[in-house]
Amino acid sequence: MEKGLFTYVVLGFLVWAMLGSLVAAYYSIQYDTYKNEYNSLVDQFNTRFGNVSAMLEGISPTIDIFLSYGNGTTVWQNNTTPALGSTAFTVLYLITDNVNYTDFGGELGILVTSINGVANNNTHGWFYWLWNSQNPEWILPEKSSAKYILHDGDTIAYTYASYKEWPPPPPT
Amino acid sequence: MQTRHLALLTILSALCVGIQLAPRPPNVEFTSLLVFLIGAFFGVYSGSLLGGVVMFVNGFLSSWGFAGFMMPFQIAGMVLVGFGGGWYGKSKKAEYRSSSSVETAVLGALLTLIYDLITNFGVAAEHMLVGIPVFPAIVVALVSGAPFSLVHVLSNFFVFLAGFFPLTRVLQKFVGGENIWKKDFLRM
Repeated sequence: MEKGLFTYVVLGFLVWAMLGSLVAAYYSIQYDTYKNEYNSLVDQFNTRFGNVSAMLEGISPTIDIFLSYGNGTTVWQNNTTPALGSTAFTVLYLITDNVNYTDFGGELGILVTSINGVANNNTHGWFYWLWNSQNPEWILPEKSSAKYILHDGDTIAYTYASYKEWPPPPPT
Repeated sequence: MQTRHLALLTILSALCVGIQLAPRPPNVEFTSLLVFLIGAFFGVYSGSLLGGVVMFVNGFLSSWGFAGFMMPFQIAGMVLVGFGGGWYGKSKKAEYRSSSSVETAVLGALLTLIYDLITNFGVAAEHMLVGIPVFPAIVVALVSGAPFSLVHVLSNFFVFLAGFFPLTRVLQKFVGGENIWKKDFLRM
């Protein structure tokens, strides 16, 4: 490499290093400042209104969930308390080890494609249900589970059933 | 100095002051390029003098208000840019190629960074005067000015990259061709 070119490359790296260090220091200080402000705000809130985490748990919905794998295996997960704003889809992550899904976007939303290794195929698939407590019966919602926000006292079910019979048999 | 050169220096100086005082985005400026160019064209003395004068005038007439305590630091920074241009012109012996664009872009970024360090030191000096210890004052001034320096250095990198070489071509034509420029280079 020519000496002149080498000099300009080194100068370029020098500018880069100095400027990069200054900007990194700036954002490091910004991070510390906002972190301290956040902690201070949480402390003030806790002092006035009690523990924030405990309060959020207090207003989280308590729900019951039923899973039927279609082979006689059923699971009830009662008194589950997902975070406020959870949906019938996101709660699956709390109670199962493995969930797969396809996101169709827009109005269609998310379709659950397998739960704990039991996957949709040409003849069978996963359906989710909501329990109507006013008129005691299971309802097959006409929208994605990811679009239903859970409320306190809800009971939901996921059943693995055949497509041949429509509507599919409700959870039992 | 030839009359034509004197006229050119006067016009470029007026242009430099005008551009410095014209409304523009914060930290994006063309003064450094012109001061560097004049330093490269007329030599270290003219470039440094112009840099100092432009920042002196700017200190009084800037739309940001009177520069006050910062003025000597701004003048020192821009004198250094003119000096850098003079040094570059001398080292290249007035022979600029398209590769000069990259060289001047790097030099422009370096001189801008040094200018910012000097003016930020001016801010630190202001803090020191009201009792803030030396080290915290310098660190706070340098670090808090980092986003502005980033914009300033990057914008000047591209301004020098795009501006220096075409402007030297224009100036060559104005003074009567490459040979005259080379012959008269640095003669006052």
